[in-house]
Parts: sequence; structure tokens; C-alpha cells
Amino acid sequence: MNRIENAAALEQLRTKAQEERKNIEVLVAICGGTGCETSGSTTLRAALEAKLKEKGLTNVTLKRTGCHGFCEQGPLVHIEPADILYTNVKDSDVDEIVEETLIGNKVIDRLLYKDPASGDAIQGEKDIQFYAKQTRVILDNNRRIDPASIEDYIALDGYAALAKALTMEPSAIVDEVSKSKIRGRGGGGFATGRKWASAAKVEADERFVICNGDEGDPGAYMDRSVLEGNPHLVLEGMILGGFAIGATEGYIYVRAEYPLAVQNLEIAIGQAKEAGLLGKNILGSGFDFEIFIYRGAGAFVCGESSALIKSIEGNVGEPRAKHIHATEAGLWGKPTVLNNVETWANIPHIVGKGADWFLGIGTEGSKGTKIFSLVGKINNTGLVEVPMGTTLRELIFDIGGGIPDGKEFKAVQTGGPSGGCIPADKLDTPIDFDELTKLGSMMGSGGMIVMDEENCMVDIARYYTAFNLDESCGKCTSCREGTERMLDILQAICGGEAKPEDIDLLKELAHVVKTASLCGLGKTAPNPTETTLQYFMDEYMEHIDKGVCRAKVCKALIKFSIEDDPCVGCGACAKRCPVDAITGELKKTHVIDAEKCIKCGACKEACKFGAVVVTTGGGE
Amino acid sequence: MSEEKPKIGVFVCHCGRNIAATVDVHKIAEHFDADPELIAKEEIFLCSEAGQENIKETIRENGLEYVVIASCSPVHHGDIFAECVGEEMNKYMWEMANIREQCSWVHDDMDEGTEKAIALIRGSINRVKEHMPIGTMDVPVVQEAMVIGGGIAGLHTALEIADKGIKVHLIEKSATIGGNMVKLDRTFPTDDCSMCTISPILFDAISEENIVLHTTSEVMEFHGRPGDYHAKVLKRTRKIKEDICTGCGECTTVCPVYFRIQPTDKPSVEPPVQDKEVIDGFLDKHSELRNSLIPVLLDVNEHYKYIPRDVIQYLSFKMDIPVSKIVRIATFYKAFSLEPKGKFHIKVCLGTACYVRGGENLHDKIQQLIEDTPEGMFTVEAVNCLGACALGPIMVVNDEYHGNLTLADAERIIGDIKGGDGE
Repeated sequence: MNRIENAAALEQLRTKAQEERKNIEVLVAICGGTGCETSGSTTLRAALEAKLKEKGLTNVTLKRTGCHGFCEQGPLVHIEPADILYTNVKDSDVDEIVEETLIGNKVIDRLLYKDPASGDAIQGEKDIQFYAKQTRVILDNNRRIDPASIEDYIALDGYAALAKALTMEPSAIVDEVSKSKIRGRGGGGFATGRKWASAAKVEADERFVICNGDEGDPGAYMDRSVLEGNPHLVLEGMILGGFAIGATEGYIYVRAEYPLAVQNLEIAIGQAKEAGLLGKNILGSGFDFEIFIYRGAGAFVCGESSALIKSIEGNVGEPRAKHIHATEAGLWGKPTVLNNVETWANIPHIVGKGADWFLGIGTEGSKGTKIFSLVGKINNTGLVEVPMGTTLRELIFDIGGGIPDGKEFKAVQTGGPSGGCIPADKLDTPIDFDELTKLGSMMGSGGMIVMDEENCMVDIARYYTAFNLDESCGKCTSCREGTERMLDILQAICGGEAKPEDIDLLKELAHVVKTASLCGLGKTAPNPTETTLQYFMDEYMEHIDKGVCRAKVCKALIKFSIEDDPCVGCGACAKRCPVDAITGELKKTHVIDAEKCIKCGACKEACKFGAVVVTTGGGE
Repeated sequence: MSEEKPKIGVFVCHCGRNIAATVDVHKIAEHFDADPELIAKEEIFLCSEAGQENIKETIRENGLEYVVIASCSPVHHGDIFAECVGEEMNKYMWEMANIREQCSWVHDDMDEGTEKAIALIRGSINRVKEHMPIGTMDVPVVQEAMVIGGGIAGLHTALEIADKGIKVHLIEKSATIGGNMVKLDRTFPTDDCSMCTISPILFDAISEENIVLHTTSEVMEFHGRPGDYHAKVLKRTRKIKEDICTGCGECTTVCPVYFRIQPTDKPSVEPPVQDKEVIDGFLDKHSELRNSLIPVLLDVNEHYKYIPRDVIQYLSFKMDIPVSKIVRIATFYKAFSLEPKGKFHIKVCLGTACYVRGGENLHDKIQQLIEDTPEGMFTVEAVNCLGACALGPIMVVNDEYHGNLTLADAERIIGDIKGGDGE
């Protein structure tokens, strides 16, 4: 691509790209996000390409796009302009798609999404509840853009906001961002405009912007999908931010676990440099800016801003006290603005469409949309983007389609290991930074893990505490040792060995860890424990007093056995048992030796007749 | 001198068997009684009424000028004997020889014990001759203590004294308390974490109301006597307002003296390394970054599946970064390994989304499945979130994702690998 010399040249290029795209008769978009690739979209794409060539269908354009968000149903194939969404597409479906749909103009019912409630096949995205109830400001373009094509991005108004910004006073951009009241999408919810303003006013010879893509919260992958699917959006946001605060360099810190994100960002940065959108004299404005990718090395704590900065500087990622903010002395001791991927992705929209547009979405205290990764025990797992203020119930039951297999909803976990578990009676809470904090949880980066009756809340608390213990950098004693002592108690409860007074000690420990730790990790590490204690105390007490784990998760409190009636004596369970604990003659009821049983659950999975049952507590 | 009358009385106590078991009391009494200057007596319990009566009677009958009581410690029964002696003569004209705590209790040989007891008593006899009759008066006492040195021993001492309700001045020469122990990683022989042991003590010391901490201070002069000591302490300025400082540590990161501590043993010749071109390639690739250590290490780890020793030394030389720092980085971040990984590197996701869908059972299952495989074939690692949460539970085998796994799926995949690799 030739260098784009100025804003007018950018507009010419945009018109040209849009014209080219208007000439496309049929567009087949195959999702190339990590979720769909795991489900087989790479070979699917190759098969489809070969078939199109074989049939000589020149009017069909094949596009590999970023994540569409509906990962549970992947691989996804979306056909435009007819708006047909095929889900769970296999390589073997390729012939039929080409023959029937692309040549014969017929919709294949079998491949459409089936509404879990009614069982009806639904043709287009707009009619599927999962999509229809969302407001997709950031994610929408993911299915229209080939992440490796800058033209795709430019055709959809890409870099228009940057061109506009370069004609503005930098301070006016900061004002616009402040006016929009956007709050950081990484979890803390700090006002982005205030961050920018304070970094811009500090006297310095250099300034930096950083994009925090160290998405470590288990159960969250929003940032991954944005970086993988629409890398130029993030780059544009950062260049714009750099111009606004007077920075000359930007860093994108990406998890090492996201190789596709790194790859797509590398391509995007290369293209932007070639096009003169990065480097010297961007769009003829005289503004110079470079962006570097910095891969993380697998330390959860590096999602914390001061640890992340230490890591870019080549040190171990240990947080520091923030008496002096990064906006005054951050990377290499210079004023630094660090924002989350999703925050940066919002910036071009805010600058392009104006702060008033952004203010029109969301609640009083939380503006705009938020992307959540809706995962766990839920029908429509995937990425969803909703306006702030949407209630948890709408998100889980309307968009998410409720809990699979008719099970009962128990809790939703937000905010990752720093967040908390929210029970059923709080489901009508609107999603908002402050409302979630009031419940003892937090917005976090957007992981939303749904749990049903088969999840034990004590076990969940134990899980998160073990996670935080593992990821604690070890600098503060309260976090390093305190989480370990908390885990001891939680393990004792799960093992049926705890005493009622241990709960008081657990609460006290949680308080100390919270109060005495330096960074966000330690300060919030007790949240999962505290919220489950608050909302699910009865489960804790059942474990302690009766030795009952009602979810049948805690191995010390459950027992596997085979029921006489459904068992046909097929022997499938005995074959799968790794410790030979199951015995029995063919066609006769088998028996599990409780002494030998390691409670792995392989027999339950193997039994087609539901004869393997799990019981808890001493009785029955 | 016509008649030399004994003027010193020596009373030796058996204390039941407490003393008599290891000290021959009778022999001692005979030994001292033979001296014309002395009159010696023994008693089963000197502290008993009968024993005290014996002392008083002997003083009265012989007109004794001095008394030596050989028994237990002055702390134990000193007051009783002082009162007893005081009824007959000036109550400072006696001495106590501790032949129990300092002799019988710490020895088990009768001859040695007896010999030492004699020596102790002889010492007391010689000292008591210097006594003069005096009276008593009240003197004000300063109930304060000074401990010099804020290391682990000093801290302990200060805390023990403070615990008795006595104000302690803890004098420490350097700017911080903790001494040498805070510089250690582990302590012998229990291999305990040094900081874990001392940090609660440090905290106790700074929060104890009875301890006044004087850091950057030295004792210049010291004189006086019990209850009335005088010390002159030089307190150097630290240029930091102690009441405002929160101990955040930011200042230490910019202190030029702190950073001047750099190892000087950088080798003068380039250390040899395998695949020099490859490593140099990694260094070149990231040369535009201001600090490229972590990116280079990531490439090295990806290339070898671990970070070989010689590469660390080579990088240390080329990048002018101490080996210790590289090793610290390599052990802090989970992406790095200092040990070679198996041919098939399996990562099982235990992120929450995978966990609630049974990721832990999957992990246990895979552990079982690879139990009988040869070393170096598999490495199984539980990781926190691979970021494909919609498809949990997930595992990644050498960068290939497998989603929505059942235990049977895992068995099949591992079985395929075992079958394929075996041939």
C-alpha cells in the first residue's frame, strides 16, 4: 500500500474501498477467532475455498474475519446479503452449502441456529435473541473485517476519527474524552479523561501510552477477540490518545497465550506504518508516533498497571505503591497513560461520533457499552456487548438463553478472581461499575461466569483463593501468607474437617489480606470468599455441620454408587474405571468399591442409563 | 592476741537432696570448721525455722562478725536470710554462696561439685570480710533500659524487657532495624524463610509502646550505676521525616548509591553458546525495544522449549545484565522454564469457565493417562485460562486447541499420541 499523505488522500482511499466492496455480490464470512478455529474453522475455510474454485463461483468472496462472539455455536459461517447464519458447520457441510445455498439460493435448515426454548430454526443474526438484544458498538465490525486487511477497516470509517483528531487541539481531544465520562474497561473504572488530563499536564520530555492486553482473568476473553478481530481499532485509539497527551511511543502488552492476537497486531502495525498512519508525520500533520508489541510472559499480576510497567522495563512484575501515579511517573519514569484494550477501542468511536453520542448510552454513573464474556453453565456462551444498565437477568436469560439442561441458576461470578459471586435474588441489578461494587463484586474486565446447582460455592471460593495464592507475586506478606492460610481453611471446609469457629477466622484473615496488601490483586483477593460467605453461608454451614455438599462437588463429602434398577450390567463403567473399583458380572448390577473409588466421575460419564448416582452426607 | 575466736560463721545447706546429692555438705562443713577463723555448720534446710534458729543462735553464742550462707540463690531466699541475720547483727554483714543453681544443679560428679562449692564459699568468705555495717536509704531509680543493636538479638531483648512494662531505648547504627537477618533468604537448619520469621518481630518492635527506636544512632558515652545510668547517643539525621514517610520504597529506586551495587565479575571474553546465530537473531529482532530481555527470553524459550544455561550466560554477557537477574525473571514468569519440557506439552486450562465445567477432573485424568509413559514424552501443566472460555474444558497439545472435552475425548487424544509415537 502507498503512503497516505493527508486526510484527503485517506478519504479518496475510503471511497475507493467502499466502491470495491459494493461490487461484492455474495460475501461469505467465516469466523477466524480462536474459538471457531478450535472448532475447526481453518480446515473449513480451506475446503470452502477449494470448492468455490472447483465450481468457478467468482461472484462469491470468502473472508476470514475476527470473532463473531457466538463461540458456543462455532464454527460460524455468515452469508451476506441474504443474512444467513450457519452454526456448527463441519467440513462435510461444504458441498451442501455451495450447491444448495450459494448456487441454489436455498437455506439449509439443518445448519441454522435452533432457539433453545422453542426449537425453531432461525435464519439471520438479527432474529437470534443472542444478537438481537445486544448493542454492538465495538464488536459489530468484527464480522465484517478481515483483520489482515487495512482496507476493510478503512472502508468502515476506519482512521476517520484520527484524521479528525489531528485537526483538533490535543487539549480539545482530552476534553472530549473527559466529557464522554468513559471509565476504564479494565475493571477499576477510573475516569479515562482524568487520566489523560493529568498525564498531559505533567512537564516531561517524553510521554507514553500503553494498551493493557494482559487479559488474565480466568473466564474472560473479550480483549483477545478485539485484538484478534479488529486490531486497527485499537491502534487508532492509541495513536489518537498519543496525540492527545503528547506521547511519541505506545506499547501494547499482550498475553503470551494469545499468539493470534500478536500475529494480527504485527500485521496491522506493519500496514499502518506502510500507510503512514504510524511513524513520522502521520497524515501530514507533523505528529510522530510508534507502537511496539510487548508479549507478556505468563504472570497474572502483570495485568496490574504498575507491575505491567515494570515488566515492559524488563523487570519482574511486582506492583509498587501508587503514591505517585503512572500519569506522573510511569514507564521509564515518564508520564504514562495506561488503558485497557476495550477502552482504547472505544476512543475512535467517541472522538468520531462525539461525546454526546456516547453519553446517550448507559446509566448515570457508567456510560457506553461493555463487552462481557458470558461463559460457564449457560446456553449461549460467547461474547456479548450490552449498554451499561442492562440487568444481569437480561444478560443471562434473554441473551444467554438461560441455564442448560433445565438446571437451576445459582450464581454469576463477575470480575474474575477479584470479583464476587452474585446470587439469584440480585439478578435484577443493573450492570454498572458502582452497582456491582455495592454487591461486593466488581465490574472487572468483563468475565461473567454463570454457575448452576451443580457448582459448590465453597469450592468456588477455594478455587479462586488457590488461584490468587498461585498468582500472588509474593511481595506483601499479607497476600502471600494470608491467602495460603485462607486456602487451608477453605480446603478443610471442602474436606469436611472444619469447625464452625473457622468461619470467624476466615473472615478475619480476609479482612487482613484486604487491608494490608499493596496492589489490586491482594486488595481484592478475598472478594470471592467474602461474597460467597455473604450470600451462601448456608452452604458453608452444611459442609461444616452436616458434611453435606449439596452440589456434589467436594470429593471428601460425596460417594459414588450404582443403582440396582437402571443398571443393565453392561460393564461400560467397569471398563472406564481407572482404579478397577467397579466389579460385577455381565447383565448383573455392578458395585463400586468405595475404598478404591477416587471419585473421578468417569463411570458416571460412561453410563448411558443414569445408573451411577452421587450422594452426599452420611445419610441415605 | 591471746585467744583467736572464730568471727565468721559458715552455714551450709543440704536443701534436702537438692544440694547434698552432688555436693558433700558434711565434708564442706568439716573443711571450713577446721579453720580457726571460721565456725561452720550444716543443716538439712537452712531456710526452715529450725535452720534459721540455728543461724541466730550461733551468731549470738559466738559473737560472730560476719556470716556466709551457702545455699540457693539470693533471688530465691536472699530476703529470708537477710531478715534472719538482721535480727542479730547489721543486715549487710553477710554473703550468700549459691551452691545449688550454680553448682549442684549443674554438676553430677560429687568430687567436682564439692570442690566447686568449696571454691564458691571461699570466695564469699573473702568478700564478706570487706563488708562494713551500713544503713538503708531510698534512691530514685530510672526504670528504663537501653539495648544496643537492632538485629534479631537486640530486637528480641528489647521486646522481652518492654513486655515487663519497662521502657526500652533501642539504639541502631544503620537506618533500618533487622540487622543481618533481613538480608538472608533462608535460615539454617530449618530452612525457614528469614523474612517470615523476623517481619512479625520487626512489626512488634515498631508498634510496641514501650520501645523507643533510635535509628542512625550510636552510643558515644556511657557511665553510671544500676538505676542511674547515663548514655550520650549521637542521633544522625536521616533527612526523611519519619512521621510522614509511609515506607513505600519509591525513594530507594532512585537512590544512586543503591544502584551502584552491581556485580563486577563480568567475564572479559564472550562465553560460548549453542546456536549463536539463532540467539543473535533474537537479539537483533528486538533491538528497537528499550529493554528487550523478556522478549528475547520468550523467543529462546519458544525455540528450545526451555532456557538453557549457556544461553543465560551468553545473554548476560551480551546484554550486560547480571545472570542473577535473568534467572530471577526466568523463574518469576510462568512462560519460562529452566528444565526441558516433554515432547508433547499439554496445557490443561483451569480457568474458571473450564473449572466449572469439570476442568479439574480432566486434568486429573490426563495425569493418570500419562503415568506409564517414558520420561520426556509428556509435560502436563495446569494453566489459568487459555482464553477460549466458551469451549471449556480445554486443553492445548503443542499449540493445538481441543475444546469441549469429555474424559473419553482426552483418553482418545492421549491414546492416539501414545500409539503414534510408539512406532
